[in-house]
Amino acid sequence: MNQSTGYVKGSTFLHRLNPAVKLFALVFALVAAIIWSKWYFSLALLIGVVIAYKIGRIPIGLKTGRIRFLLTFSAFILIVQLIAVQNGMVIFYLFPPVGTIGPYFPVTTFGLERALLFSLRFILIVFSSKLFVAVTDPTLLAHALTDLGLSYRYSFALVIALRFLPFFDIETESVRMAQQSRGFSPKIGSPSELLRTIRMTFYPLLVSALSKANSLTMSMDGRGFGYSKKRTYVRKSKWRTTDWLVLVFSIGLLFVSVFLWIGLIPSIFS
Amino acid sequence: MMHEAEEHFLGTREIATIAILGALGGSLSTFVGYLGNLVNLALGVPFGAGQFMAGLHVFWLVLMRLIASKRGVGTFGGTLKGLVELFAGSTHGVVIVLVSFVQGIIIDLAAEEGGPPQEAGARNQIVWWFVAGLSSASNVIVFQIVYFSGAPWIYLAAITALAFSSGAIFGGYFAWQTMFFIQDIGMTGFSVETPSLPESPVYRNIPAILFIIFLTTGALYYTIFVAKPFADPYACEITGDVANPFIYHPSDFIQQEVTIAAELQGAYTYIPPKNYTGVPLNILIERAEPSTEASTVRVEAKDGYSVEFGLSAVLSDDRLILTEEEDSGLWLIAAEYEGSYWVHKVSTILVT
Repeated sequence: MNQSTGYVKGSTFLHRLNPAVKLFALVFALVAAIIWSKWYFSLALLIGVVIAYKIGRIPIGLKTGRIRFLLTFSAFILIVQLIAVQNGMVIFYLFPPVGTIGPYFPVTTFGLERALLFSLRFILIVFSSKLFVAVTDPTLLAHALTDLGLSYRYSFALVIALRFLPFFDIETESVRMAQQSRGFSPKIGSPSELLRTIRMTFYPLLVSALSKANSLTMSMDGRGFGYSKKRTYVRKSKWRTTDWLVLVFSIGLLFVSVFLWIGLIPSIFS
Repeated sequence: MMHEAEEHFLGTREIATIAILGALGGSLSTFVGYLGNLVNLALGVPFGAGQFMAGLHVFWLVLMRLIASKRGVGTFGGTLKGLVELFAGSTHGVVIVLVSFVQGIIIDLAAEEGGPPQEAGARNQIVWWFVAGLSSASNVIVFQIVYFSGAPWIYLAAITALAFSSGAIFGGYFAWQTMFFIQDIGMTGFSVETPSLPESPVYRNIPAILFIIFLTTGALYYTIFVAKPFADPYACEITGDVANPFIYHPSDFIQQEVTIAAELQGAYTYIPPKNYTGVPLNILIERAEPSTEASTVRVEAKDGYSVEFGLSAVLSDDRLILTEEEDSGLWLIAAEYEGSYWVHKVSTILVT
């Protein structure tokens, strides 16, 4: 499992932005990409995200297994769309004519547009989300949400959940080793074996988690959590002029995509 | 602390439990999501094959809703779990928050019918299984909205059914079994009497029998009345700004069929002149009786492709016909137009 949050400490412009603004900007940009479904719009946004990676000094990690997997998956989406869509002008054939055999699998203008749109949108969503996580301190995000009116009792739940991720890594490993020492080997050959394996490995983990919830409750109650309507913070998120500018820009982006979609702004590419 | 419990919707214990389960569920679900994508890649489909594990995502939300049995817990827990998945590196990015949020809402909305776990009976459990199935199946719809793939509806229906079944089993049955287990070790904070069913195999298996009957009935109903997979694939809907919208079947218009010679000229595709037999589009449009304000005809294909013609041009064109393409569907032959106007697998003709 090996879980921990993807936050990368830093002090760049992106790191200093208010977490709520970053969240809104992410959501607005992705909604815009969905509303105005053009591959070149998704590509423009993706280029913007790559530039943001540079600004935030976040490595994209093209050599990491996960990113490679995502890029492979994206290429796979592209190929499936190219093969599946047959309408539009034929550009070339994936299997050109050889003698009397073929041609097969035409690549059409419409198929290419669709393939680029879906694969680029997929990469855009994943990479922009990864960037958001990398430049956003979860504790400050919780504070920013509280600042917007969410009760700190609920935003604190996010902080708890993220702080416990590394704990479950250790617990999972402990359970696995404990079961191995008892001679238990996981089997998933049949539904009953699968359920047994889940019970044997998962229930101890669940019991451990719920025990932790009990002790955490006592600890929180002991410290007077929830006693006051207001909570004090050591670190707080701040609103700066740049936050407002980024927010206005992202809202503007959303409106432009809506206007393009309904035809109020003629597309320069159409 | 009694004062606090009266003031707040969720007590400290409930918040801590939801947070911890959200963390555990979020971290495990990230792994499950990755596995799902791996299965898709291995089987050569862009999405869907991993849906047999979709219920494992809902499992956590059902468990939270059972342990902290209050309205809104599903939505809160779903959002929280989605955020954990996002921060843990979900391969779906921020979309997973939306998916998990919607799953939580469905559980909250529908769980009222299932009742709290303290009222555990065979009927309640079956309702919860159904709720979990619905919640699990919702992910297919959300992903379609976000990623709209243009996949065939029969494929979407199949993976929705798969997600529903997975949800009913993992999110319904298994979540309840887990809840009984947690209660046995005294960690639920409430007592639930495990429903005791009569010893007869028939009575003992009532939930499973009802579940199978439900799935069979639902599948038959969907197949016969909704999806109509056995209906004529060579049919399209003529609709829009018309007085008489109808479904076109070539067999209804045999008398109006014409044969024309046409040549497909594309940049890379060329089909030499040959004969095509079909029904002129203008006959179909006239039958639909377009309104006086209508000015365009859009021909849409099943894969989302569409081309647009002027209404007056269509009405005066006898060489624009709908023909039957072998093993494919309806094919628009646009003899007077370039190759991109020859639309394969026509599904809708929209007059606007």
